[in-house]
Amino acid sequence: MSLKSAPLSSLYLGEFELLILLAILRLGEDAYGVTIRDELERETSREVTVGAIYKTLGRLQAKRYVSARVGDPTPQRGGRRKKLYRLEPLGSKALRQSCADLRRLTRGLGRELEAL
Amino acid sequence: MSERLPQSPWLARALMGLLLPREEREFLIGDLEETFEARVAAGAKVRTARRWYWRAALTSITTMGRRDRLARDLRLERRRGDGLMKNLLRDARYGLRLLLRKPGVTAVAIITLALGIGANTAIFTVTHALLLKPLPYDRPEQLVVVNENNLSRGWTSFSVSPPNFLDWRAQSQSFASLAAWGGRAFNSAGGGAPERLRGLTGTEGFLEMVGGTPILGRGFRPEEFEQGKGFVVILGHALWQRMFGGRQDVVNQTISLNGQPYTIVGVMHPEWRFGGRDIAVFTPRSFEDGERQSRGAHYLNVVGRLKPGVTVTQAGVELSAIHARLEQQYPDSNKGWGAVVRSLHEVAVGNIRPMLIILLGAVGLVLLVACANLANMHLARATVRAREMAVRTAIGAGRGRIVQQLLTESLVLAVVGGGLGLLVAYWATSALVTAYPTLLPRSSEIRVDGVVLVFTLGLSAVTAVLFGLAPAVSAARTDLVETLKEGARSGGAPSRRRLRSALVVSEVALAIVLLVGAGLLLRSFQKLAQVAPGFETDHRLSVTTLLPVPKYSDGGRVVDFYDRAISRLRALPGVESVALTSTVPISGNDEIYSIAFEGRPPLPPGQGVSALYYLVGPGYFETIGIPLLKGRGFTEEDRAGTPRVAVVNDAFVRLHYPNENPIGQRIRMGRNSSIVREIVGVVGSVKHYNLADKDQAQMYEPFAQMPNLGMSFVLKTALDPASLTASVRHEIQAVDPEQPVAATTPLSRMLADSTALPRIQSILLGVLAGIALVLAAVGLYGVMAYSVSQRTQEIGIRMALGAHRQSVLLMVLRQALVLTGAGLVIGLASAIALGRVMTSILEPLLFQIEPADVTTLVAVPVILTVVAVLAALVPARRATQVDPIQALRSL
Repeated sequence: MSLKSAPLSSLYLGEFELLILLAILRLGEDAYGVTIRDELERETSREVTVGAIYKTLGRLQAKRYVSARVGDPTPQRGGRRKKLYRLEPLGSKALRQSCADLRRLTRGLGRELEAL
Repeated sequence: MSERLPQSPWLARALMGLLLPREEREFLIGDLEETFEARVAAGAKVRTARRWYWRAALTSITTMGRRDRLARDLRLERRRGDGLMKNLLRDARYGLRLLLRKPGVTAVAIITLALGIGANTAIFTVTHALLLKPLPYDRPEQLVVVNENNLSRGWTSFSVSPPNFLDWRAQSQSFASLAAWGGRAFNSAGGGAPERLRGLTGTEGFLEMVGGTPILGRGFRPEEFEQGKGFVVILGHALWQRMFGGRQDVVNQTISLNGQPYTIVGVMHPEWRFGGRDIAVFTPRSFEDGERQSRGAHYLNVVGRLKPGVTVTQAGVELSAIHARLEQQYPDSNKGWGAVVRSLHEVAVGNIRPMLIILLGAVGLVLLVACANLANMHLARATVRAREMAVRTAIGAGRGRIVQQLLTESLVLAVVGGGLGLLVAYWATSALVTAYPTLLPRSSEIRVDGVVLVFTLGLSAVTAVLFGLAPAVSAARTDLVETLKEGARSGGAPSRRRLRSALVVSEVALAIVLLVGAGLLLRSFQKLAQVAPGFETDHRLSVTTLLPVPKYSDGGRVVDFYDRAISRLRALPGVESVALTSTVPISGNDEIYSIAFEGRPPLPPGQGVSALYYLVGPGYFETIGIPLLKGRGFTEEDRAGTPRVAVVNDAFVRLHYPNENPIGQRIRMGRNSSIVREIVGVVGSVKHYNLADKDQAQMYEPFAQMPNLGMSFVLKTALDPASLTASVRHEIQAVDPEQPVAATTPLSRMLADSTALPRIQSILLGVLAGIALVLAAVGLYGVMAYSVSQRTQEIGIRMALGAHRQSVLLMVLRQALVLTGAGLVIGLASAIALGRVMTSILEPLLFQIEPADVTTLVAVPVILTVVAVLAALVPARRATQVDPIQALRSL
């Protein structure tokens, strides 16, 4: 038995997973730890720890929603390389599905949501 | 580069490198670095950025570290192909992660360990350098020190007279070499400012014995030890560098020492020290005809190298036999004198041994208290972690494997604590040596070296087992089914509770032993500090000079020099009065001469009497503050040509004139005992060697009637005496530009130095006892707090049934006091028993205090009880705030 990759029957996305996939989509070719974190902090006004991002990215990678490649070393970061993430077809599908669900659920609720 | 960029905390980086999964390590650290740099570049404070970095690193470790390993970790399974080492490393990583998750608790544990192991390492460093390491000489076990002694006068070790030394050397068979030596100060006036040089002079074979080999030139030749041929010198390495710039061609040049030309024959190698000191010049020692005759004049130091196979005892027996023959042959001078041989090592460190043994014991006890405390913490945690252990066992971890893992966790803690302890020890020993360079013998050899490292590592391992084994075994014995079934409300097994109580009792007992020891030393030091030295040290400055022989061979010129110097010094602003003395009390120097009484039958050989001897100038008693009890002190009228006079102290009168008026009595004494002197005054006694001395007979002669080359000025000042140093030198050199000043020391400094050892040992033991007390209090607090939290429901029921808050408070306090009381009884009994067993070690350390000092034995339990009540008060108050309704509802 392994606890790390329990098979999922549907393309369900957790909230944090959804946010990260959206950030990767917005960042395009330049999605890695720092940029993802900056994007989330800027757009969602919540504090995010790098550890949590990596943990979730690991899970998304295990589900083959994203793939990672190793970038070239840069003089910043003490010469350490970056791990750049890219959306995979399965991830795009899950994202599309989740966003559609959200859109359906919020359809017609514009005024009510504003009033909350 | 104008400025170094701020760096992220390296320790956080290192921890991540150690604990993060290898796949993610580089990228995650890189991300944190990039963000750190960006924050600093955007103008954030470096401290804020660092704090952020630490937080990010720690959360990353705790969130990332465990993910894919959980199951394997839980089973504590050994991966296939992994050796024991890898297994251990994995356990260590896991332990480290656990520790990082509870930073507060971990910090307390690590500080406790760092103090415990650090104190042990520091004392071991000193003990190792002083007692265990061989002396830095060739075959040091063969080196011995030979002294005379005179037990009927209470002198267990005394200097040797030249004829006795020469007879020993001629007659004994035990020694490969026997040599006499002495310190000798030289004034050098070559080149720039006049300088006083620390010199050493020894008879043939001395330098070879103590490892003094020249790196340049040669040693002394046998004929240079003949009288009148000894004007050759070997320079110390530092002096050679300073005065001759390290030039190779100094050999065969001449240097002026004490106004005499000496030929330089060699330069000493740079590492060589004698008695921990750097020596500037070495000259050969020979004996003048007069010296060869004066068997009663004791002033030589003698060292010897035993022949291979000869023991110290055998050499002692042989020399004693020779000395007994000399006693028969020369009863006038030798009656009552014996010879004593001791190993050089014993002489070098013997007086420091009792203190080191006491301190070693004390740091050992502190470490035991620390271990008991940590064991207690682990036991409490073991109760919390009981379910973790049960789960591990349930999915297949063996009992031995669990013990191994818990012990590894303890080891990680101990190694981190030990590493910090090493820093503590390094810092503490170098601070001690820097602050008191002359306090300890061999202090230049005190350093943290490989042996100390091994000691610390071993000690850390032992410590880990000491505090980790009991909790680990107890945790592994957990009843699997019960623990899992019982759920969150597990109470902790009764055996574990008993163990925790026993640990607290022993902590209290150990703290008592330490407190009693510290109390004894503190009270002893307090008594010592209250002893009046018999003279004033406040606002007094001692200034020592030595006039060279050829220039000042005439007594009149000596008196003239000192007269002119005194009138110049008196004119200095801030100086109230100035006087001369040949020996300053407490300075460590002394002169002792025998006395003969006019009008009494001569004393039989071996029953002679003697007294400490001082040559002083007019106004000495007033200047240094020795009270005049009877008659008069010396005046300007007491000079060459006027009647010879003397002053004695009250101890002298008590010994020799118990029922007579001492004034007007006539005695012969001192360097020229053919001269009869009349006693004109009686003064108070001064403590000459240290404050613990009994009053000794002392006698004074006027300087102007017996001019002496080496004298000290004593200045009574209105200003801080140390601030006058430069102007004093200036005035003395205005009298004679070639005349150096050897030393200027405030008398208050001399007195403080003389009590430095007892002061430091009482402070050290006090600090150790304080640490033990705090640890014991923390331990008691921990046990009581835990007990209260376990008994919440019971207390709630009691209160629901009508118990008063006060009685609940008392109930908890009573429980704490029972534990404390048990510790008190055991501790006091052990302290008294230890005092009995260790009397021989304790006695030399104590002044006017018995090992079973009642004040200490009463005060210590009182202090400890107060501290125990304070420690138990917090949990006791918490118990009174238990809400009965809440407690009952959670049943």
